Amino acid sequence: MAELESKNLQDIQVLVSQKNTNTKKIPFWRLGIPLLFQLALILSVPAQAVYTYVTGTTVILQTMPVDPYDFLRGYYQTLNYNISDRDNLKSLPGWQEVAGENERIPANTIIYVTLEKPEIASKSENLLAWKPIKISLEKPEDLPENQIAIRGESQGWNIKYGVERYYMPENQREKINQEINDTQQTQPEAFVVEVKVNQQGKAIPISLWVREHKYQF
Amino acid sequence: MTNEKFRRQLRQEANLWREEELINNSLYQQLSERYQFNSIEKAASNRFVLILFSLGGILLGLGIITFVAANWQEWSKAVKLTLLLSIFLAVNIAGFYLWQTETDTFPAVGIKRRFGEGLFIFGALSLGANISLMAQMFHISGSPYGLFLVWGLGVLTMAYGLELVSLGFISILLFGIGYWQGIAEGSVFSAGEYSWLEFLLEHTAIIGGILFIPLAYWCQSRVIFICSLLLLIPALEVNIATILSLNLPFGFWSAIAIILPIGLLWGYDDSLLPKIETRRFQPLARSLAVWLLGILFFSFSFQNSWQSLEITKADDTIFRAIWGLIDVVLFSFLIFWEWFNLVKPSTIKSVKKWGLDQITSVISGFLIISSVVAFWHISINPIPVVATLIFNIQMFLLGGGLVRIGLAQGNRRAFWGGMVLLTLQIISRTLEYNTELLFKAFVFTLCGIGVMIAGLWFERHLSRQH
Repeated sequence: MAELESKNLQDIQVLVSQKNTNTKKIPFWRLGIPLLFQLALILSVPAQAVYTYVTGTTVILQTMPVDPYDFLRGYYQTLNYNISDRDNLKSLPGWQEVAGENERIPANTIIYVTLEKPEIASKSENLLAWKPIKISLEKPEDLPENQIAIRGESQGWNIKYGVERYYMPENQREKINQEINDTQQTQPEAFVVEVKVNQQGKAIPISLWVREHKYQF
Repeated sequence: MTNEKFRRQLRQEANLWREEELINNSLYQQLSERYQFNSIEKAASNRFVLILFSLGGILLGLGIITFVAANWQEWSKAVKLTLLLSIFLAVNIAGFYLWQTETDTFPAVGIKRRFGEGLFIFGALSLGANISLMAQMFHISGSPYGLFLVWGLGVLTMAYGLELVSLGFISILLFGIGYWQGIAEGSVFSAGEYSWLEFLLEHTAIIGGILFIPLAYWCQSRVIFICSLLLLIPALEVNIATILSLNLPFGFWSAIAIILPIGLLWGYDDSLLPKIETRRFQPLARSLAVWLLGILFFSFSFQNSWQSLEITKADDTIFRAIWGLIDVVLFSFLIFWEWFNLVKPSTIKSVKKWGLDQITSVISGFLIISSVVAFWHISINPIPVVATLIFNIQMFLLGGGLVRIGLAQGNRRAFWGGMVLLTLQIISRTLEYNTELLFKAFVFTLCGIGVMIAGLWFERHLSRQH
């Protein structure tokens, strides 16, 4: 009887002590390392943009009206540039090299558009957009001070430069949109976008200029 | 763990037993220690405190969220960034300490732990919010699939670190969403800029295998194992499908598309992996293989599916599809190795000879016949009628075989799977070929009665067996 009882007691002790083995201790580094990795992921997202922001050259791009139905999508403004449209690039030197005999550049082709700074600073308040002067498949080297190459990817009928979205606060969206709409109807050249282009030709949008108003978020 | 209500009742009963002298004092003491009778009251008060704390916590959280929402537009980037990052870090670290606390009171085990795990899940979600907010702040225009892939990878490291099934599941889910979004966008395998995200998409089959299958063993989780297979196998099929669009022999690759996934799953053997002794997940892989076979037979049991099988060649811009071949080749090596181990004599098999066991031979027979038929139909001579017939026979054999195995081994899932397959076959054939309503009604009724009788009989058969 006593033997049985002591065995029972042992069993019970095993059972009771089991709950402690269920929750085994995990050292802190097993949280710390994944956490650092996640933090690195978060910070790596804007790394290239920050690099471009710091080292890039400021360039002014001329916008074009976009399809009003596609204008506002979520929290960002869809932007369309004159260099996004293949019709505006067709007359440039280098078109033959890029598109051959085709009407359009094959989709997913990487192209470089060389832009030139306008010669005289304008007397009006408005900023003057840079002019496209050349298009090529390779990134042009040794460009003069007043020129820069911007990198784009062909979507077939138009070209994307990675600066097609501008996020803005919800409460100002309506107002800015109205202003952009008005400007594009009356004075289309007065809506320009300031971007920064880095050494590799990658660009990020910095601010919007609608007539004399500057919007930066 | 025993719940508190049970312990309360037990205490009451035990007191009664002691008074009736059914049990002696020492046994009562043991019971009291085992079920910690004296901590029942303390546990109740602890729980009350916990409820108060959680209520307060929820209100506090709501307050913070409302405050942030009210001021979000006005804050500068730096403030937003600091805020989000500190929430991200605080949630994870708080979760870790709560999750690790050992509760001394018996029933409260798990409540804090669960709350900690909840915080980890919240932290995993806030990782995505952080990444997308970063992209938004710097006006980065990219496709959302990259966000999901990166997010999934981030959560995956946490799942490895903490051995948490819930985080592992979330990470596979996120990776899967990213994968299918990326595939739907069609940017994979096309010319143009090649980013490491596209690399991930192209080789999801291999990468998924390397990243997620070990996690299933690490967490000892069947859910993660099945989910990783559900990510990996379709990804492998996508790679084969893109190879098909190149100018390669279509029939041959269709045969590969049939054999590779099912053969891989059937041949899966945990013990081939280093440092793993038990065959923990083999039954899961094999059931999935049978599922896939059933789906394959069912979808090609219709005559239409053979007649409409046409070769669609994509345009020449898809030139990188050839890289997807790497995955297919690697998995082909794997399947050879797996089946070599199935064929070779081993200590586990009852007969120590070269050869396959009975069920494996049947499965391989199915695979060989199906792939030969597909190859013949596509590359040599279209045989829609014969192919349909053969696939129907195979479907019938599979269904019948499952029912037989179910009966022999008392396996309920096999029995019912077989029944469903057979019924599905009869009903779909009736709908496909006969237009007479009366006959349809007759078949449906017969099927219904048949299933009911078979089911009742099987259950009785089971209970007699036990």
